[in-house]
Amino acid sequence: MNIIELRELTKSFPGAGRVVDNVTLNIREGEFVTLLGPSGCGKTTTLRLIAGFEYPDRGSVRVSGQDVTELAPYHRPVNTVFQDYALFPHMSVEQNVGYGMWIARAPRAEIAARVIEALRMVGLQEKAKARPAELSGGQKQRVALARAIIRRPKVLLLDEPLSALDAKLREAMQVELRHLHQKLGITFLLVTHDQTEALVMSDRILIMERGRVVQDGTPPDLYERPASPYVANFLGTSNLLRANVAGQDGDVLAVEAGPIRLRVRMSRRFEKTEKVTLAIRPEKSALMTNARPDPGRAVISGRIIDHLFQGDVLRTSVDIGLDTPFLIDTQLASSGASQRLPPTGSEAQISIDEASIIIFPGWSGS
Amino acid sequence: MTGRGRRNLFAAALVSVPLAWTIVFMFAPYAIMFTYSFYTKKFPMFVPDFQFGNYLMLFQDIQYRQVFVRTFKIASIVSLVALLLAYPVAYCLVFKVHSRKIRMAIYMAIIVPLWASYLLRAYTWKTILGSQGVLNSFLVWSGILAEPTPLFLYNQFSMVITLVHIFVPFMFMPIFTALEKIPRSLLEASKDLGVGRLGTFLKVTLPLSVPGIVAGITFTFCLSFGDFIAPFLVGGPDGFMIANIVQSQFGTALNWPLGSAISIAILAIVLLVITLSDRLERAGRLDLG
Repeated sequence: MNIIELRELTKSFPGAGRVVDNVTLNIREGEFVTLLGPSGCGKTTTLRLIAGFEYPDRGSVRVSGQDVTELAPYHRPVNTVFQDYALFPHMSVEQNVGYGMWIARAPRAEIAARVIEALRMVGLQEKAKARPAELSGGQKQRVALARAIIRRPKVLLLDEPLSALDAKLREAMQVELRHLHQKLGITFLLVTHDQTEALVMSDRILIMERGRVVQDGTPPDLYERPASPYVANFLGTSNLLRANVAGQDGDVLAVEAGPIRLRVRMSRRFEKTEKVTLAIRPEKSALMTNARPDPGRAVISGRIIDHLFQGDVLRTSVDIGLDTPFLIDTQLASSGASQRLPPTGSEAQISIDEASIIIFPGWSGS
Repeated sequence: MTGRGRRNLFAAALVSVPLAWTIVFMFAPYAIMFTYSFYTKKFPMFVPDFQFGNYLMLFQDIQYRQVFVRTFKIASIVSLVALLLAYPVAYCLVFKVHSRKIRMAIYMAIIVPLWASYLLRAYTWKTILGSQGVLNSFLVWSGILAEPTPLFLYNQFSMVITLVHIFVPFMFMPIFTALEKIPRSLLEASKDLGVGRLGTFLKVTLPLSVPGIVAGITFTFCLSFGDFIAPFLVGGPDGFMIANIVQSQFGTALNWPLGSAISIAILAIVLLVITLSDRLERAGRLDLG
């Protein structure tokens, strides 16, 4: 059953144009869905339209079968975790968490019990009497969560909830949010610009670009089969090569990009000289160590620009005679791997897993 | 001379001018006034003494007590009316006017009368409320009144109007600032948690604007309490305020000791109000970050 249904939702702001452009989407009950995109892509506005803080120019919002487009935020069965937490500074932690029930005149005993339960759920029961100003960023985050889940909303909306936390805490909270989602069984809709966050937490990711949903799928789906160069480069990194079709023989496609010639397995038909974009993942490419390539791997040659040490991964930039350098990621599993690498400025051969090359019609960015 | 010594000397030089200014023009006059308040009036002037007769008179003489009570009442009414006028305006300006330009334009329009002469603004009300004034002329012209009424001017009503008009920007400014500081996400969070407009106002907006209200009341109350021009221009006989008594003691009545004692009493009341409001503000000061 669909818990959220957006139909042709459109919202413009003066000076910013159409921020949300004809968005239609469904979210099933109990799903953990992420709206992913760069800042300004309309993901936060979409969330605010669902919460009721913005009113759409066109289209409708349905939550569990009920059309809530015309309803004020306080009549919608959803709750929000705000990016800046939005804790009431003049109330203690327990007053913050119990605020909604208290104003709704719920019985005192019931409020107290539910507040403790919600705080226990986020592991913060010992801070019940504290003021928000006395809490750390991570603790404020937990209070905001407890406050949003205390009434078991049909949908929990999370607006970049982890963006203000440091890297370590963010990773821990990603796991905790995932667990909280399983424990509560309610639908989570997360908005983020952080692709790792989206990949780690979501059942399903919707990628947004300029107000539209451009792809919708599970994390492995999107990573392995991006529908456009934009998605390929937004989820992880991709080398995007503008190329032309040189010929097609059965399901082997010959393409050329400047001095580079590649043969790729491809069942789809292309015209000769048609413009295409190749997307190649840095981790599916390697610097060749032996003279002859393994079967199923294409080879291109270039000159090494530099190596960037990133801890577990070494990222090598190679000049292959095109505008942008080609990136290669090498896993540094065995110690001493970095010592055997060819020095900067030396010639190198790159081998690429042919099966991982994705071809999009047209040139990206044009 | 060591570096630290030189820095200390420099700091002392920097502080000395304002310090000297404060001593000569504030503490010295207050000290003189405080001393005078214990002197005894003796025709034609007064003689040095140390007695509490002047202070006792403030409590014993019903006339002075009445004026104190009236001044307190007027200052309270002025503060209350100014609050009731300024708060809705500040609220609408902060939350309902979305264009920053228009908001600042209206803000300036409210503040700009402060640059006009105080005397002029008080005097304006004389020409509006007087029996030959704008209001009476209009009422007679429109046939609501048969002849001009003297009821508008020279009473407590005209004084409250004048004082509110003069001091309302002092109420408006701190409330505006306090409301503007409230993050919008707090109001959204309240609505998100199922609380309607009124509940959100009463439980979030209003409590968070209390520091502004306290500051506004302090300004308006203290300024009205010590005012003597509005009573003088539009107040009439029953609009006499405590500052007018002080003025007359130092002037025509030539009773400096009594005038000093009253001044000290006013000073004490104003200091008390400021201290109370400071306490309140500290208690309510919150980290909105």
